[in-house]
Amino acid sequence: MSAEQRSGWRKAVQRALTRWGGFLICPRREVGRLSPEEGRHDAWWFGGLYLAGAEIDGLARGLASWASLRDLGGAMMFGAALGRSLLIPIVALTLAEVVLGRSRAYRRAVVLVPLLVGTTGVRGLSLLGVPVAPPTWLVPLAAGAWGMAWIAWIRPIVVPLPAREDEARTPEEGT
Amino acid sequence: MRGRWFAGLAWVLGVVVVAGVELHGVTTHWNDWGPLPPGEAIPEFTLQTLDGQRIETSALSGKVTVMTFWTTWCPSCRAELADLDAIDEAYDAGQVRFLAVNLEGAQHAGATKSMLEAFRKAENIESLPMAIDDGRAARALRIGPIPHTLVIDAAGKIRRVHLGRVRATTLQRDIERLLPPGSTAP
Repeated sequence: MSAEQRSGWRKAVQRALTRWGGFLICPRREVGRLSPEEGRHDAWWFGGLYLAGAEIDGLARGLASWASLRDLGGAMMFGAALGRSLLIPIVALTLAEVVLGRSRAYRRAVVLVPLLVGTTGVRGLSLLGVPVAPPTWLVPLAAGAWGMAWIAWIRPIVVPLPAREDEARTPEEGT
Repeated sequence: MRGRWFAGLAWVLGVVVVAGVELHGVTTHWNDWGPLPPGEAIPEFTLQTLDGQRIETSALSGKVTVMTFWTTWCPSCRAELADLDAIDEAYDAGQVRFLAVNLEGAQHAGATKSMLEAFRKAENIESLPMAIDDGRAARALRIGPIPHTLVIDAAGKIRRVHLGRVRATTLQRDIERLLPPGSTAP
């Protein structure tokens, strides 16, 4: 990799971290600061981080079933674990898109930030031995509600894309 | 800008650290996860039948054994028990043994026997032998989703594991593969 490419990567990572930090501490101001092209792939990054921070245990157990049985039943166990892991971020992103509307949906990734921080934070505390034991469904529900509140809060600030530009985007570009 | 950058770095690093610790847990416990696979010998544990007898797993050798783990609140389990009850009578008891092991013994040991007697009557399960597990068998066999059905050969080795409901024809095929050639089959 050339020095120029390394410098380009470094700047992209710095911009991403600044943007993601802004989403956490001042989401409305951060969203107002950004152009529509910035952060187009944040939903994918946040989804990947969510799986890493909150769902590794469930995914690993599903994978262990597949490795143990090495048949279709085991593969279905892993498929079920994968589906359960992806359910929460997919539902959150879909609801965020509904609230934002089609022309503002490019900012729906913001809903995943509280979900990430909330669920990973609780897992981190329990790994440290802090006796945190809410019902399994409560933490993602509360964090998801927090994310939806933010989506409703930032909606007026998100610049709607003109209809022609919005229709010209492919589904991949829409994220 | 520096504050936002630090905040972004902090929460991403936090996620990465939690992921790292979880991955370490995965590598440590990997061999203990997932059901006990085919090829393993059935581990030692003791079950109690509804008529008060105790069954040691060492007593299961000598016959092909179909053992299903179930609970009364599981609809798929109830359907599978009905299938097993039907095919139980089709095989020579000297060659094939069926056993339905209820997993609720760990929660309410005393009540389970009467609960299962009532369940048998309500579901019309006539001949299928039932036993109660106090949790030890479930831990030894790493029972997860139910119904969890094992087909064990006459030497006491697990030959097939079925997670979720399994069709009667599939179980019959598994049994016939383990019976000596020329054995009586339905």
